[in-house]
Amino acid sequence: MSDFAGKTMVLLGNEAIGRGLVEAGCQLAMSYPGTPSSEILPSFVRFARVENIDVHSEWSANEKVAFEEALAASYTGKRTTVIMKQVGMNVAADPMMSSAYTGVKGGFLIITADDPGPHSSQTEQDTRMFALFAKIPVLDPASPDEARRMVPYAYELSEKYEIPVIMRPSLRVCHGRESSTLEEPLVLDRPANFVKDTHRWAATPRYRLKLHQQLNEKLVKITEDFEADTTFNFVDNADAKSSFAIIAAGMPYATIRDILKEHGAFERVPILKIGTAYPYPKKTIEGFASRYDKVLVVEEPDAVIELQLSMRNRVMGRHDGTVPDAGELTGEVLTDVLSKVLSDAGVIDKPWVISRDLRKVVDDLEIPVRPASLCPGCPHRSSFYTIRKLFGKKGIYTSDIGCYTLGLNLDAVDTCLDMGAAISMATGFYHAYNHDKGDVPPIVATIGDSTFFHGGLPALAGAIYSDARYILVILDNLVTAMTGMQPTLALGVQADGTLGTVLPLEDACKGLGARFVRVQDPYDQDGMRDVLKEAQEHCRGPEGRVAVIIARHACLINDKAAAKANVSPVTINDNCNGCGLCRKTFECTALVKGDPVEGKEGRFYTIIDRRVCADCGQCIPVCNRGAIQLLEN
Amino acid sequence: MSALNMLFAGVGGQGILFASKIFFEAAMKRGDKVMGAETHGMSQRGGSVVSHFKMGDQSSAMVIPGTADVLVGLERTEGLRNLEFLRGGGVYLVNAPDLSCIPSSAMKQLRESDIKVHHFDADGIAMAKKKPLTANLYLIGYLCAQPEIPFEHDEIKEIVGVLTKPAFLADNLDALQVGYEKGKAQQ
Repeated sequence: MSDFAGKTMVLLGNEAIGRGLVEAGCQLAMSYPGTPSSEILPSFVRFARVENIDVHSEWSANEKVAFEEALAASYTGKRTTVIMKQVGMNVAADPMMSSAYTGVKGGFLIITADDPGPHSSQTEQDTRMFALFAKIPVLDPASPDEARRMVPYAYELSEKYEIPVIMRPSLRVCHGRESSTLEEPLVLDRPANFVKDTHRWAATPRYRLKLHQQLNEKLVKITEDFEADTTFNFVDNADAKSSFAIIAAGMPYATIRDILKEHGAFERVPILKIGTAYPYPKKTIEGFASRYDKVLVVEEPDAVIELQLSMRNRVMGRHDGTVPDAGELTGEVLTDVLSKVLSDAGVIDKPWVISRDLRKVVDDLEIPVRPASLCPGCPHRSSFYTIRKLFGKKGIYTSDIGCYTLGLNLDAVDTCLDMGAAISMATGFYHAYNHDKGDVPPIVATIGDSTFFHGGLPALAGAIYSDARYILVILDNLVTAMTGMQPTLALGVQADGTLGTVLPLEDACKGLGARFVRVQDPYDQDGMRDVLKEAQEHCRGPEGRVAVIIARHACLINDKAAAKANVSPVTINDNCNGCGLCRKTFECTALVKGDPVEGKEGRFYTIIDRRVCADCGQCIPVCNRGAIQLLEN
Repeated sequence: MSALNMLFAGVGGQGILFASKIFFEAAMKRGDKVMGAETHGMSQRGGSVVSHFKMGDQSSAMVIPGTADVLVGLERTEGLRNLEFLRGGGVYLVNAPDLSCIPSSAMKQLRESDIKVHHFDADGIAMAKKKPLTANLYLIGYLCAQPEIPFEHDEIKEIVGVLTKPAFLADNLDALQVGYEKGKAQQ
């Protein structure tokens, strides 16, 4: 018996999903960290550990690798999962599309967290749309506890039809909290048993057609299952006398319920909640819609149910402009939508009185937004500062996805596209300029340690092979910082804390053919400048290739002791004339505006915000008047 | 089951998550349904942080603007930024020595919306005692003394006892007590 089964706990959505995996008997879990999905794998590991269940877990090199590893394990009959954020699915798209055809053996759950807003992603893409494209069933939870309960259902569905199943919680489900009553874990005794079947697992195009036909047959049956399901697809207020109704899915369903209750209109509106957007449960949705003159579809981020609804003259939603066609459907946005739509439909006599007076007053105050900024003491700031100071405006600075995208604030990031692109785009810039046979401007690519393994390795192979010449700075802070301090492959620490094999970055770069590979502590700004100069000379020399600098210094948040170079506080002396150069070029949130300089309008002395200063002393060389110093000097 | 929506607004490092966790546990202990969420910016440190707490028969983890019964501004600017979440008749508690941190236009509107405004210099007291991280507990103590909060001081004290690491227990309980007494005196 489990000590946890029957217990009620407040769980973060991602913890609830981790728990759901244990309750569903998941045996292997692979993931690449990405907000808002990152806490799922650690929660799975933790719940398995407290339940004494032996599982395999892994922070993989990237989402494609994670997907393929977990899929192969499912081929052996085990229950497995792959966990990622929505843009990770772009990386894993190749195996995903194919896996719909091959199908699976043991239950295979793809968990992909969406980010309507977007709050921490490049796009607002909708995983349900991807599911429709890939012909893979998708479940869409509306709350943390529903997400937990969907996991065992997903595994049963996956095994019943030997098909991958996607669950896509959105940000507010992942990072919401809700009380959950936990259930018994499922402990499966399933030794790996890969049964060969080349027409499936290694199918050539001739057999692929057959697999496609089989996939379509599975989808017809799953549609029927979804149409019969009343656990995740159900109607609120079915008896309400109304010519107007709502179809809602995911987080917006929860938000709509709360808004209608707040305004006392809940019982008047029939609501069909859909937890299975694809394959489209047509009888459920259109049977419901046919009973009303007008139906409002509310879902996010894209219009997936709305798109599939064939009764076009009844549908209102993202497509006809009733609901905004981009951005998160917050309580505020949906309050306005519902107020208008419900009053137009005569469900309420007149639009709700919604006071925005406080909002207006606060808007008028124009409180500055706290801009995202590298932490005080962040070693990346020192790298960017030195790079920018040496190569100036003329340099081309490609960068990547991670904390260090914020090198933007130091004018040392010109591009940020997707994982690994810093390197391939630097190669592209080099070849474009070199094509003109003239001078190639200095090009510096910056990429994080984890991102380098994720998408940088093939890009560097391509750069070396094609004889591109530029500086690649691997910002090695010895952790995957932005997503919450997961270990990287270079550390050799696995998801459950056990040791794996260490993969040194320098060996990887040398192995791919780089001749100039240096490790440099960016806190030593002079040393960093010198090695950057040498690297540039190497690039321009006869034997030059991509020059790699591994800028290694621990993340301050992850490793406070290692990050701290000074024991004495940093202070500003009387040499400060309020020029503001330090605040502008070093862009540290610990360097803030103090008193105005008398007689010089717009000038402010710099002061140190003691609450946030890391006392790293990295800003000291920035001031050419020597106004920043250690207190003890 | 009484419904209650609360919002804790501040910056990273102020113990906002811990503050809301105390109320999650207190509500759970009573058998009430609770939901909640945290929102924060992209930066690891020093960014805006808001924690949503919802108790009662509700479906969404986020407090909708205009429906918060209580807003605690652990940092005055972040408190101000989130005023729109308060409902008419709600309670605003700001971590400040006086109310000069609220611009007159906002103060006027708060009065018109019938919102009770409290200030309490939790940072000042906590700093004076050289325990800056206990400011959140002073504020929670203060809050417990207000009639709008359906939690008793003793209930919260018990939860704080369970959630706090032994090394910080005495400081936390002291802060809670001092805050509570101050809150009582201000009623």
